[in-house]
Amino acid sequence: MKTLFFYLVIIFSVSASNYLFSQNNNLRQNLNTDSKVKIQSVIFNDIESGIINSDVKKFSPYFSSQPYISLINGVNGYYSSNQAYYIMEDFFNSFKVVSFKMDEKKIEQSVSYCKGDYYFEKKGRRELAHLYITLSKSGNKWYITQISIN
Amino acid sequence: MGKKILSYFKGDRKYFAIVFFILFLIIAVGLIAPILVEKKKANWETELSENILAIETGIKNLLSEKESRLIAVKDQIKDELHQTLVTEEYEYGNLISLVNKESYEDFSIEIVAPNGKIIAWNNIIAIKQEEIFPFVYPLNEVYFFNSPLVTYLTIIDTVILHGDRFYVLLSKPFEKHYSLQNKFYRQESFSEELSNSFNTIFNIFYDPYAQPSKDGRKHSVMLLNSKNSKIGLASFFKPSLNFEVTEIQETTARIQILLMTIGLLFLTLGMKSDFLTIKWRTVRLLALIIYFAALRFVLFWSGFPARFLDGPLVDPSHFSSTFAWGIVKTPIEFFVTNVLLLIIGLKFFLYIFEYFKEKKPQRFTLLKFLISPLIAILTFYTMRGLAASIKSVVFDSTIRYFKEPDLIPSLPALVMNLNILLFGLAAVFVIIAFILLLGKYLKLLRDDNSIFRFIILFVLIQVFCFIFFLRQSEPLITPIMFFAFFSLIFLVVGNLTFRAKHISVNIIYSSLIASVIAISMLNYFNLELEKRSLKVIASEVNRANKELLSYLVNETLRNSTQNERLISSLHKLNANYDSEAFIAWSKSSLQRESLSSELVIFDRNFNPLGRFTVGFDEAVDYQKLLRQKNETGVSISEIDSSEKAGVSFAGVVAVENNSIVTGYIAVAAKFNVENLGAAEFPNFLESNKAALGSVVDLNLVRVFEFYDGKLLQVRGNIFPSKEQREQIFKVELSPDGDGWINLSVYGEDYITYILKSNWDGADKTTAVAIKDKAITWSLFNFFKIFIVHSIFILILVFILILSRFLRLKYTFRTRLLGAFLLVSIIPIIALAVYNREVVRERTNTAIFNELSKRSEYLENHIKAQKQKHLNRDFLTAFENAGKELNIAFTIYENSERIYSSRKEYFDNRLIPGKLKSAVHYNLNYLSYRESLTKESIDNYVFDAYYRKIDFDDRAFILGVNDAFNKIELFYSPVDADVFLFGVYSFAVIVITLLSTLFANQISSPIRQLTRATNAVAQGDLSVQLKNKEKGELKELLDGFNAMTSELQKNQNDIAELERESAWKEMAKQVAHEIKNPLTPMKLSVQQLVAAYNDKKSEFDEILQKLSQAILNQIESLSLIASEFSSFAKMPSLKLEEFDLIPVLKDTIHLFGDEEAEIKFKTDTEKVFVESDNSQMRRMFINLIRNSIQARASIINVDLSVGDGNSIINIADNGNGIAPEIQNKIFEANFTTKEKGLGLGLKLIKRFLENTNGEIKLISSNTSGTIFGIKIPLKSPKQEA
Repeated sequence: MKTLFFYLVIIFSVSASNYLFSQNNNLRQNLNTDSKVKIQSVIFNDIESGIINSDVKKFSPYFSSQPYISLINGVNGYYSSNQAYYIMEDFFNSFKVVSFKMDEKKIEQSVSYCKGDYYFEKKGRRELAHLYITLSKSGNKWYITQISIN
Repeated sequence: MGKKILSYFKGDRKYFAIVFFILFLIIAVGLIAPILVEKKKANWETELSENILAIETGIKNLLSEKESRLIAVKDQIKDELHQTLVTEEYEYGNLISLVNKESYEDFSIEIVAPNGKIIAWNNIIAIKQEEIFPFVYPLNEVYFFNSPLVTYLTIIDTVILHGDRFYVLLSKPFEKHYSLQNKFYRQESFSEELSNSFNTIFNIFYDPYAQPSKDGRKHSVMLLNSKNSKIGLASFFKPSLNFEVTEIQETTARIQILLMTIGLLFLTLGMKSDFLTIKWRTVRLLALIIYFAALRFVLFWSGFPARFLDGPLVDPSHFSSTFAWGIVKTPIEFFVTNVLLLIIGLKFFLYIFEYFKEKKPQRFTLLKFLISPLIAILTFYTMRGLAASIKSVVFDSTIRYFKEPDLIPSLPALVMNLNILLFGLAAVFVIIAFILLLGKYLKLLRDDNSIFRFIILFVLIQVFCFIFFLRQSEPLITPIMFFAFFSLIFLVVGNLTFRAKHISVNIIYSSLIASVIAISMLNYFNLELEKRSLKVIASEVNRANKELLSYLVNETLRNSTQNERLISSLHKLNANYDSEAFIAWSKSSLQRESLSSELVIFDRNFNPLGRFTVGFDEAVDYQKLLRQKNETGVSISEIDSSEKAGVSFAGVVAVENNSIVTGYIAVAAKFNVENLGAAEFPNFLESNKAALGSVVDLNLVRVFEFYDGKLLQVRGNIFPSKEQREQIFKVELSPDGDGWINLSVYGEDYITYILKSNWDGADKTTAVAIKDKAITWSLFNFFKIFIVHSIFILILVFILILSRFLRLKYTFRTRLLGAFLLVSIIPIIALAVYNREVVRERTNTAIFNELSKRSEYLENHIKAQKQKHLNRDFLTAFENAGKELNIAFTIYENSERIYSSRKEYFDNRLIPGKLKSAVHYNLNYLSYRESLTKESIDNYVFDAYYRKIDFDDRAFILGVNDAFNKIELFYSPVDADVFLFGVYSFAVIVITLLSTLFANQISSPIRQLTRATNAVAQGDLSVQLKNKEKGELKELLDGFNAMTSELQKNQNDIAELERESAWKEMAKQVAHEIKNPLTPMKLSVQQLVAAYNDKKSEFDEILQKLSQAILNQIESLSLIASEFSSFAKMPSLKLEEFDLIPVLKDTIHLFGDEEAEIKFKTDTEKVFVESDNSQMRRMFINLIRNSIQARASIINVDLSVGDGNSIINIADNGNGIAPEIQNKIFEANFTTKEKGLGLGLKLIKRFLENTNGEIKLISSNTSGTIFGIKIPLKSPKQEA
C-alpha cells in the first residue's frame, strides 16, 4: 500500500512538473502587422531610441533568432539573439555614441530597412560609421535580421 | 608597543583589520578620483605639453628599438655569410639555406651579387630587382622602403666574399596597408602599435618629404634614423582631456574593484573559523551555498574579472547567454560561474555522501518517502538543465567545437571545453547526490551490499525518467540518451555504495562520466545546429536583396572618396594602382561581406589605372557609367544580368582633391547563391562571414530559389523534378512562414528547409537542402573534445595527488603502477607518433599526387596546343590551358614569373613574383624534376608543387598550388591527429584506470602485511589479516597470521611462565624475608614464656625488652610488605616530548585495511605533549580497535587545542555502550567482550591519570560513541 502510494505520488509529481517548470526564454515580442500603425515604424523608433541611449534592451526583443551583424570593430557574421544582445552592448560601450540620426527609413511589404550616420568617440576623437538595419517579415511578425555599422 | 599592537591583531582579527583597511582604501580611491580629475583639468595645458613630449620620446624610442634589432640581425647575417661562404668551400646551397633560416622568417633577406643581380632571397621579397638601384639612402642607414602593399624598415649593407662586394638587403615588414578581416591576416602596423601605446590616433607618413599636419588638433614629429636622417613623419591627435578624464575614472573604478575582490578574499578567511564552528552540517552547507551565490553576484556586479581582460575570453561572440541577467555572458564569466557551481556541487555531493554513510536510525521516514518524488524530479531537471546549458553552448557561440583547425583548440574554444566539463561535473555531482539521497530515503541503497535493491533503484529511475521525458512539451534530449547517461551515473553510485571509500577516485570517475555526457550532448546539439544552419543559409540568400547590395556599393564608393591614401596615389607617377585597388577593396564592406566584386581606379580621362577583381565575372560597361554619372556624388545602377542569375550593382564616384577631380573609382558587386560562404574566394581572402560554412560543408548544400513558382537560381548540381517542386510548394508552413521536408533525390534523402516570403510583390520560395547522411554523429567528433577533456582530467588527478587526496608515496603499489603505465603507455605513444607520421606522409603524398596530376594535365594541354598550332605563342597557350582545364597555375622562367592565371595577386604583390629560392635551387641547380613545398600568404599556409617543363628548347617551371586549386582530402592531417590522439588518449585513460585497479589489487596483500608488521612492531600481536589470496601470497598471509598467533600464544605462555616464576621467586623471597623476623620473634616469645614459667623476678623487664624486639620485627615485616608492594607497581613511564599528530596519523594508518573509514581532522599543525610515546600509541590502538569491534564504519578522530590541553575526541558510529554499564567501563575486570580481560580502559585511565591527562565517555547510544581525551600540552620552553 505504501509503495503504491509512493508510485502515485511520483506520477503526480512528474505530471505536475511539466506545468510548474515550463520554460520561456523567448525574447521576441509578438508584434502583429494587423495594427493600423506600421509596426516597422515602431521598431525603427525603438532602434533609434536604443542607439541614442546605448540601450540594447529597447530593440533586442526584435532580434530574429539569428541576426546578421557587421560592425566596425570587426564583428561580422550570424549570431544568436543572445549573442547579438551582448555584442551590441559591448559595441555601444566601446564605441560610445556621440550622435545618431536615421537618414532614411524604407517601409515595404516584406523587407524594410533604415540607414543612418553613427557618430562615436574613439580614443577621445569623434568618428563616423554608416548604419544599415534590415527588418524582415517572418509569418506575420517583423524581426531585425541585419545590423551593419561600418 | 609594536608587539602589543601585533598581539591585538591575532587570529581572525587580522583579516578583519585588513578588510577594514581595504574598505578605507576603496573610499580613499573614490575620493581621490575627483581630485585627480580636477587637477588634470586645472593643469591640462602644462600636462598636454608634457604628454606630447612623452609621446615624441616614446615614438623615438620605439623606432630606435626596431632599428637596433634590424641592425643586429643584419650584422648577424653578415657574420654568418662570412662563416658559411668564406671559411668553408663556397656552395650555393649553403647560401640558400642561410637566408632561409627559420629564425629569419619574419625578415626579407636579399643577397645581391656585384653585378647587381639578386642571387639569394627568402620567402618575403620586399624589394624587386628593378627597385634596388639607385640606392635611396646611403649604405648601412636604416630607412623606410615603400612597396605597394607593405612598408618595410630596410637597411642595405655590403659584405666582401672571395674579394667580391656583395650587398645584403634586410627588410622587416613595418606597416601593412591592406587589412583583411579573417583568421589568416597577420597585422603589421607601427601606427596601430603607437595608437595602442599612447591612446591616441596616429597617422604615419613613410616619406622623408612628408610635411607636418596643418590641423591644429594634430601634432607631427619627424622620424629620424640613428644617423639623424629624416625617414618619415608621425602625426597624431593631441591627447584629449575628455579621454584622460575617462581614463582616470576607469582606472580608479578598476582599482576599487580589485581592492573589493581582495577584501572579499580576506573577509572569507576571517569568516572561515566561524564557518567551521557551525555544528550542523546542513546549516554549514546552506551557508556555503549562500556565500558562493553572494560572491558570484558581487563579482558579476563589479565586473570582475571581465573588466580587467581584453580579447577572446570576453568576446560575447564566443559565448553569451542572457541567462540570469548575463551572469554567463562571456566565456570567462561562464568559467567563473562554473567554478563556483562546481564547488557547490562537490560540497553538496560530499554532504549527501556523508549522510548516506551514516548508520543512525532514520527519522521522519514517511516524510522522506513523500519527498522522494520531488527529489526524483529535481534529478531529472538537473539533467535537463545540463542539456539546456550545453545546447546554449552550441547555439550561442560562433565556436565550432568539432571543426577547430588544430589538435589543441584556440583559447576561447579551450576555455569553453573546460566550461562544458566543469558544468557537466557539477551537474553529475548533484545528480549522484540526489540518487544517493533517493536510495537512502527509499531504503534501496544500504550497507548490506544488496545488488537486488540497487537494481530496483536503477529501474525505478529509468522508468520515471522515461515518464518525465514523455511529459515534457519540448524534450531536449532523447530517451536513449537519458537511459545511457543515468546508466553511466549509476556506475559511480554503485561504486560509492559497494566499493570505493576513497572519494578522490570517485571524483575522477565522475569527471570522466561528466565528460562523456557533456560531449555526447554537445555532439547531439551540434547535429541540431547543422540542421538549423540550413535556416541561416536561407536567411543569407534572402538577406542579399537589391537594397543591401546597392547600399554596400554606395558605402564603398563613399568611403573611397575619403580614402587619403587613394586620393594621394592619384598624384603619384609610378603608383601600383592594382595594389591601391586591392587595398581599398580589402578595407571595404565587399571584403567583409565576401561579395563577388571588383574595384577599378580610373584617371580623370576615364582610362583604367588598376583594378582588383574577385569572383566577379560580369562585363560592366564602366565607360558608360562614367559618362552618365552625376556631376557630384555617387552614381549607382543595377546591372542587367540578362540570363545570369543573381543581383549585380555597379557604381562610380569622382575622387577630388581640393575640389579638382583627379580620378574615378568604380565598384561592382554581385550576389549569387554560388558564392555562398565565399565559395569563389581564395581562402586567404575570405571574410569571417565565411564562417557560414563552418557549421556544414557548403559544398554539400543545395539551394533552389523560386519566384512565383519559377525556378530562378540553383546552387549545386541538382535540379528539382516536377514531383520534388510540388513537394516543396506543398510544405506545411509554420506561423513564421517556413517548414521542413525530406526530399528524395536519386534515391538519397535530403533534409530540406523551405522559407517563403514576399519579394517585390512576387512569392519567393527558398529551399535549402543537404544530404541526410551528411548530418551524422561521429566518433571523430567525440574524440576531438575528449582529448582536451582528458588533459583537464589528468590535471585534476595531479591536483588531487598534490592535495594529498591520494597519498602518493614511493610504495610497492606506486612502483607497480609506474611499471604498468610505463610498459603500456610508451608503446602507445610510440605507436601514435608512428601512425601520425604515416598519415602525414600519406596526406602529403595525396596532395603531391593531386597537384602533380593537375600539372601533368596542363603540361600535356600546352604541348598539344604547340604541336597543333606551331605559331601559337606561349602566353596564349598558357591562357587557353588554364581556362579550358580550369586549373590555376603560374609559369616561371629561370626564377622570374612570366605568366599566371591569377595574375592579379602577383600584380598587386600580395604574392611575390619570384620563385621560392629553395625551389629555384632544387630545380635549376640540382636539376630535380619536381618539388613540393609549403608557402604562405600572411598566416595562410598552402602546398605548392613545381615541375620543370620544356617547350621548344625553353625551360620553364610550372607551379600549381592548393591556395587557388582547392583539393578535397578524405581527411586532413588534423582530422587524423584528432582521431589518433583521441583514440590513444582514451586508451591511456583506460590503461591508467586499469593499471590503478590492478596495482591496488596486486599490492593489497603487501600493504596489509606492511601495516600489520608495523602494528606488531608497536606491540599489537592480536592483528590478523583477511586472506582471500591464492598461491604464494595466500601462504605468506597465512604464514603471517600463524606467526602472529604463535607469537601471541608464546607471549602469553612466556608471560604466564614469567608470572609463575616471579611468583615462585617472590614467594621464596617473601618466605625468606618473613623468616628473618619470625625467628627472633619466635625466640623472644619462647624467652618470654620461659621467664614467665620460671617466675623470674626481672619478668617485667624481660617482657618490655622482648615486646620491643617483637614490635621491631613486626615493623620489619611491614617494611617488607611495603617493599613488595612497590615492586609490583606498573612499569615506569618513559616521559618524552613529542608531537601528537604523527602518533595519531601512524596509528590510524595501521587500520588502513579495515572496513571502517577512519578520518583524522585537526586545525593545528603541531601539538606537543610530554608523555610516554609507546603507551600513548597503545592507548589509541586500543580505543580504535574498540570502535571497530563495535561495528563502526566511520571513526572520526578530531584533535584540537584549548585551555593548555590537547583535546582528542574519538567518535564512531558503532553499536554504542548500553546506558546501564556506561559507569562501569573504566573499572578493572569489567568487559562485555567474550575474550576481554576488562583491563584496556582501566589501564588507559590509569596511564592518563599518571600523566595528568583525563579520559571520559562523552556520549554513547545506538548511533555511536564518543570518547574525549585531554592531555596537557607541553609548556613552551623558556628562553634562556
